[in-house]
Amino acid sequence: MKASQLFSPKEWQLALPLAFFLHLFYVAPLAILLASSFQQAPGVAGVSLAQYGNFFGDAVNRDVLVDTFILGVQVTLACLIFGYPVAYIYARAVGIWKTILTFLILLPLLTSAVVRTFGWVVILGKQGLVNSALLGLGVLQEPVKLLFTHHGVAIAMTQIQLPLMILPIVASISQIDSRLLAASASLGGGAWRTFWKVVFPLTLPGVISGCLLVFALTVSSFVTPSIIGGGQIMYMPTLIYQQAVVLLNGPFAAAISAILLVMVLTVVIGLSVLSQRSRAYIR
Amino acid sequence: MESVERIESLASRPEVQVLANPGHSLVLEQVIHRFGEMVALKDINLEIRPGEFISLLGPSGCGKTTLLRIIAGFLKPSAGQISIDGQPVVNLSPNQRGVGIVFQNYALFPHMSVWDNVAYGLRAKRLSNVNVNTKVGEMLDLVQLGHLAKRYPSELSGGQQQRVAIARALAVGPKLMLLDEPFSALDKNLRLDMQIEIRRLLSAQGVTAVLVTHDQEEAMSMSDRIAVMSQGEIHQFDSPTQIYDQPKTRFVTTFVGTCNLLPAQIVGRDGADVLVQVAGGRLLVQSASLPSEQDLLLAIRPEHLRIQLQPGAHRLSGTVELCLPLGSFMVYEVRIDAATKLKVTQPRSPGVSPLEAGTEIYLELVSPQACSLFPAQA
Repeated sequence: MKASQLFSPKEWQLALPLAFFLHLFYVAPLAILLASSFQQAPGVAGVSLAQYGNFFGDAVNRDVLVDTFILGVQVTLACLIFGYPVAYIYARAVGIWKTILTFLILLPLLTSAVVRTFGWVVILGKQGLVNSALLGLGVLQEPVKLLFTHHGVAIAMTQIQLPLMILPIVASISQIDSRLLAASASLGGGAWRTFWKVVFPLTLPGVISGCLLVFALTVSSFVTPSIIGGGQIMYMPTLIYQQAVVLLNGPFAAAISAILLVMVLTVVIGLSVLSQRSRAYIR
Repeated sequence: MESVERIESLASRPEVQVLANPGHSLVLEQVIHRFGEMVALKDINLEIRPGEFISLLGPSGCGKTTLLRIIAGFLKPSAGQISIDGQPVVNLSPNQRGVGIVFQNYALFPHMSVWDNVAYGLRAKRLSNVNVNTKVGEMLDLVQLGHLAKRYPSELSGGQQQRVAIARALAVGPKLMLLDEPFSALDKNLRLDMQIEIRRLLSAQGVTAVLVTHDQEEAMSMSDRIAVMSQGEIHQFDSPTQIYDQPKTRFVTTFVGTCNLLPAQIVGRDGADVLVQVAGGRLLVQSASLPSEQDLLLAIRPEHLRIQLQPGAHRLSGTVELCLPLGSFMVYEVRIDAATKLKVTQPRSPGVSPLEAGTEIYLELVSPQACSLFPAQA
């Protein structure tokens, strides 16, 4: 009997190592986390909804949840508005321009989020680039406060997440058959109509994937909100960090994590349903 | 059985409503196109009459698709003039030209229902909803797809998709219809049905149409006239029968239909009659145009040779090498000298046994006009 006959794995068996890894280091910790969120206090046995009650009972916590959701939506929309045109130009670019654009789009991904965030601290500060420019032009008399504000966080997050919006849209634009555009033109459709009636609907799966990625990563990001927010404005991840690491309240941190998880999952599932629908007719 | 039903269903369809479309003419003058150094089209001149159905026929890379893109407005020619109804259109963008296109893959909008696909051009024209609905309904009835209006393109068969594409293009009342290899994705039986149906639809609407194809049978069966193209040039623009019977260049002869090419020399002439020497004997031919060169090629179609068992004047002697019964006719391969074999097709009648390999035979032309002479140097 040959060695290959002794060891001829079925296709599903090839996925076993990854499945093992994910169960051990992802599913199991998640289960433990969820379980501990139902503890009444650290080390106390029994099942209780006390932690969730604490969270929703406090207006400060509810505000953090709402702020986080709003940040996610704002950053997602901003990425879509800025990212779509870039993706459109990129998908139609040829030759050297494509190479240059690839570099420009991917460059942020190749830099650490910490480095990029400190870049934004320099730009958004009181004597930063934005304020100096606006003061210099006479648009402002007083420097505007951007650092340590919600808007500052949203601006920085938009730049940091932008590639994750652009890439899926590029993929879906380049899948569009150029003959569809030709057909639209031959039927009398101008550039505007062709874009809104043909190109945009056909790129919806890409738009939805991009929104999913940007939203999920924005509401769960920690570094940028902490640095740009300067500890003065709270989002769910910073709250979790505070409870788990600073205040050592494990069960409460677990409950906040579970709530964040549910929020992300709700949006993910909602968008996935939309995506399934938009994909159904695009073959 | 199936094919009989299909033909009956085609025949029983209600007569297509004739619209008052007088048709539009298309004239191309000295159109030249270059891609960088490469000359894709050299001096194209075409005059297409209102309501005419013409084909651009040629092998891939001959420039026929480039020409189609230029007519549609997706490419601007390097030089030359294009006019529809006498109006120059070179500087008009595709959406201003009023030229409908049916693509090889139909290019239906996958996210729109059949109805919305057909309505697309009408809505682009900003017609009122009532007018759009009336026209779409009319068009879907025309292509017999009213019952599928709510379906999406991916839920339709190839033939149905093609009919939607035709309806969509016709709905806006184009001056000109361009068909870019529209039948190549269909299977053989369906292809013939669709060819008949589209030809019927377009003639009934009086639309001038240009079909791009590499399939000579398709071009032959559908067109009023065919422009045979090779290497960016139009070799001949004529009716299908003229193209077949009186090919003007050696390329047309070999590209359209099957042809035997024999090196030949003129050995005598008497008015229009020319005596040519070829391998295996001499033939008396009448050629419309006589090249002045000494070394010639005589082109004879397989069905224009007749097999005789007796020698005679103007007959070539040869030996049967191979015999293939192909349904209604026989194909013989006849060796006339060490280097030359000819294909000969003969009608096959029941009860007559085919000639066996090795039989000595004599070949004659069915008529002195049934051949063409070209210079041996291309």
